[in-house]
Amino acid sequence: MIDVMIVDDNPIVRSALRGFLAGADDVQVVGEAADGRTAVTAAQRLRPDVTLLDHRMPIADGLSVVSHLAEHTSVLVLTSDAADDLIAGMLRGGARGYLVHGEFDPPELLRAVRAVAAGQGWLSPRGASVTISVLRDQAAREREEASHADQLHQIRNGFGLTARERDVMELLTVGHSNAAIARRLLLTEKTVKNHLHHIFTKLHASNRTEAVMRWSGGQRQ
Amino acid sequence: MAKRLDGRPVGSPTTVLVVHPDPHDGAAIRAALGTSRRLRVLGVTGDGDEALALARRLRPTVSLLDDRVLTSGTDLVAALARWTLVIALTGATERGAIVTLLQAPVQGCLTYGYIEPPDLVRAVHAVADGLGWLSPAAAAAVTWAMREATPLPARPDHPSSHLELP
Repeated sequence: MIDVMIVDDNPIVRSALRGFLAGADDVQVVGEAADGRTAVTAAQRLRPDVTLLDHRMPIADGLSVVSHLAEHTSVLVLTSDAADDLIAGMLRGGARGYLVHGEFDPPELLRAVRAVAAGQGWLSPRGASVTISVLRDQAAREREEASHADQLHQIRNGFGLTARERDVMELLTVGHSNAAIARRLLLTEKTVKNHLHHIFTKLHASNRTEAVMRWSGGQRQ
Repeated sequence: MAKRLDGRPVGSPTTVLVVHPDPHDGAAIRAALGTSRRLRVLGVTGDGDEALALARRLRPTVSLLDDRVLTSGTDLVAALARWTLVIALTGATERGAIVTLLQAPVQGCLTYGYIEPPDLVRAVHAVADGLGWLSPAAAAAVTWAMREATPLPARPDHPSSHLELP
């Protein structure tokens, strides 16, 4: 038996959803809430398998409580709002499905409830479309960052610093003074200064700021 | 809002190309799509190069593409996507594999084992309308990827916010 909680501030919607679910032998409605805050306490107490969650509600809206709810129950968002940011926010917050009012019929609601209860997902066509493009943008961004990291790696290798000079450079980059670098690397300040002298030469830098800039991939002015 | 890649007016039948390596399954998919009067299947093929030629010539609104079909040399999904909207059909079950598959320019993904004939029809209509379609296993994979998504890292042009230079 799948225990379901209905969270929506509109009593007519709650009653309609109850009606849709009443036709199924394997689903029972165990609770209702009309705002996000009540929903979280109810979810803690009732531990429903699936929670149908509206977004626009008084006191606390759906988006603000989705991650709290997701700790206790599988959240299936059911709302008339289909803005891209809301869909992405709900899914990042832990929702397992997203249905838009007017785009589904009672049998689809039941399939969605069963899918989410079984650990699968359910996305309306708009939810699917938004999610696919969000993930594709994310992957493109990650590829770009990986390529930036590769470039930086190559630039740094190109300077030909020794292992010890690299250690000094890393500490310099996070803002340590010569004295602090000396303490961290168990060197005298004079040795650190010597290392810095060599580093500046190899990096074609005339001071610390330029050295850090060049080490971070910046071009010579 | 409705986006018709084939340039036909909204309301005319949506055309479909089925690309599947198994002729029996291909015929079953054609039959399932045939239950909708608003869909018209233009062809069924198990050959990637033929699929590409058909797509170029017939410009189907939507192509259903089994991910086992390959073509000589080129990336079949990317090449097909120049002429038609693509829905991937896959036997992949692992979440990471499904998410990777969705990096290709497809508008939907149906995972075998969960496909009911009405889903094929709904998927094609949803994608023809400019939206997407994911079967429950694919939806589970993408919602997992959304939950796992790392927040945006600091931009590399601000290497360290606590940088204190003397």
